[in-house]
Amino acid sequence: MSWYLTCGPEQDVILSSRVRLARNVDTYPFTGHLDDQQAVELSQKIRDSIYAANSKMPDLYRDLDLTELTDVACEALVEQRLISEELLHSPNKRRKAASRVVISNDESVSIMIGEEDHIRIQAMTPGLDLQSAYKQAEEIALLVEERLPIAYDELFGFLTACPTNTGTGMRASVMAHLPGLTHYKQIDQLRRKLDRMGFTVRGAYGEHSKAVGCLYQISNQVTLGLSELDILSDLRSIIDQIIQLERKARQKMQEHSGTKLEDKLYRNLGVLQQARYISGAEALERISDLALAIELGYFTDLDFKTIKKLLAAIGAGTIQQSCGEQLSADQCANHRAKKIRDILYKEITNKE
Amino acid sequence: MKCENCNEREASVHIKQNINGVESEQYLCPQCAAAHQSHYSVGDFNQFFTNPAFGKSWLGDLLGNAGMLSHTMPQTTVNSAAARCPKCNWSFEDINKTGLLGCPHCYEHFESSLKGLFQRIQRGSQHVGRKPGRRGSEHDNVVVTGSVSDNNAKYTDLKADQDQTTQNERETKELSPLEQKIKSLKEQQDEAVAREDYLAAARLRDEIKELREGKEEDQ
Repeated sequence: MSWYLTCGPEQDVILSSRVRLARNVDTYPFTGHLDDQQAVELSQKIRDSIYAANSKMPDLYRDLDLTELTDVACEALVEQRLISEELLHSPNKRRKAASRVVISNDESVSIMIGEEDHIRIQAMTPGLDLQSAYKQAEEIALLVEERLPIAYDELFGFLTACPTNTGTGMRASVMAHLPGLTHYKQIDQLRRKLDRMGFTVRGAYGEHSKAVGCLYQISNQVTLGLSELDILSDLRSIIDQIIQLERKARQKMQEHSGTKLEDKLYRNLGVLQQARYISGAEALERISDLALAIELGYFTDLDFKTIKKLLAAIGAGTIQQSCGEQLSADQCANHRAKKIRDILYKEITNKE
Repeated sequence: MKCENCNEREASVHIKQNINGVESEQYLCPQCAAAHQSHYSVGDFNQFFTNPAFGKSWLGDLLGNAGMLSHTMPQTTVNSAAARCPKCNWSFEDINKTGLLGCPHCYEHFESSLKGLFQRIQRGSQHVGRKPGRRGSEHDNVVVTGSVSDNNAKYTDLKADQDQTTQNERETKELSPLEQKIKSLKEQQDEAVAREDYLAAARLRDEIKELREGKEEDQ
């Protein structure tokens, strides 16, 4: 089963954890400076180094050449966070010639080739489990490091195209659902506080100012001067505190707005079960409220798996891919509403 | 030593420049060094990263259009031979403009400028994390809180430490006396950076450079 449909620790606040490691091959310039021939050659080399690890690799991983995929298929990969926008919409055509991604069967590990750095290894786990994500990413990093000359310096550590990644080349992040802290307008304060400590809070969806669906991405800024495990444990202790604060805020919310909140959450489920047209942003907001309702114990026949299924189904790329054709925004909104109704119907009737 | 600019505070930053082929050195206090850096435009780097809304080249456009670059940047980053990375032909100006380095060699070529940058945007410029091909790092003999510690045993196990000792011994055996000297200086340099003694680190760096250049001539 795909990792994103499963649940993990502290699931009520932390949806998922992710660790990304950036690596570059020495003797080649960074991706933006490769010529066509180098780009293709390097891309092949990196792919081969991963597949050479053991004979089972082809059964465990699939390898996609982005130049051979349709736009819709690529968009779906971005929505599933298997590739970055950067890899897809690179303005530099040379990069595109070498853009590929290697994805594990459960889609928890993806290795982007030809991003800003030659190799971007990313591992994702459900809930709060940065350590497992790190271990998975490190395993792949080891494979590559054993087989390719990696750009590394005793002083600066792993050398990356952007100096904000130099050193460990690691970006660790969690996706947090913070409706309580958002309700009490605590996010800006949290953002300022974490910024001073070397961590970033930004909306997981939408533009940087407003976070759609109270979903936030919290990640480390510093990559040099701290070890991987120091960064992970710092992030972990910050997240632990945020979880406590968020739970308190939710409790307070329930105590203070009692029936009004209950009414809002029940009506919300009604809309999700009946809507015929729903935009991506509205869907996120409503699924966020549904998650809050489940967390507060309102709908006992639904659980976090429902939330995960809904979140995985509402992306425009994913919808078009499952329909097998290109759709207008209106058509997408219509299909999205149907998809949500179907999932909820199945979840509720199966359990009765 | 007192700061050469204000003559008041203790100097802790060593700045070396090459302007039109003329080398100059300055020992400054952190405050004067910061003012010095921002004067030479690299100081805006931090701001650049937090302003993605302005697009990738806004800093370059801003400085370039106002004709500020050629006046205020040390010439070393504009037209002398050292201004460009010999491997990829990328300049520090290009790095400023795009926020990206050209190739791994740029790190060595622009080492001193990058160190200044890392002081501002990172936690210093000394990597303390894991090395290629190895699990964890020596620095990580810490017990991590919560459930994280359960998985930590792997990184602190004795075998890994033993592997490292053997590896170090082997490396030392294979090195010539000169290389060993460079290695020990490099370690001293790392230590100096770690205790934020940049004056000492800069001297050690120059010493290493001289030894390395001497070595190349011998060959």
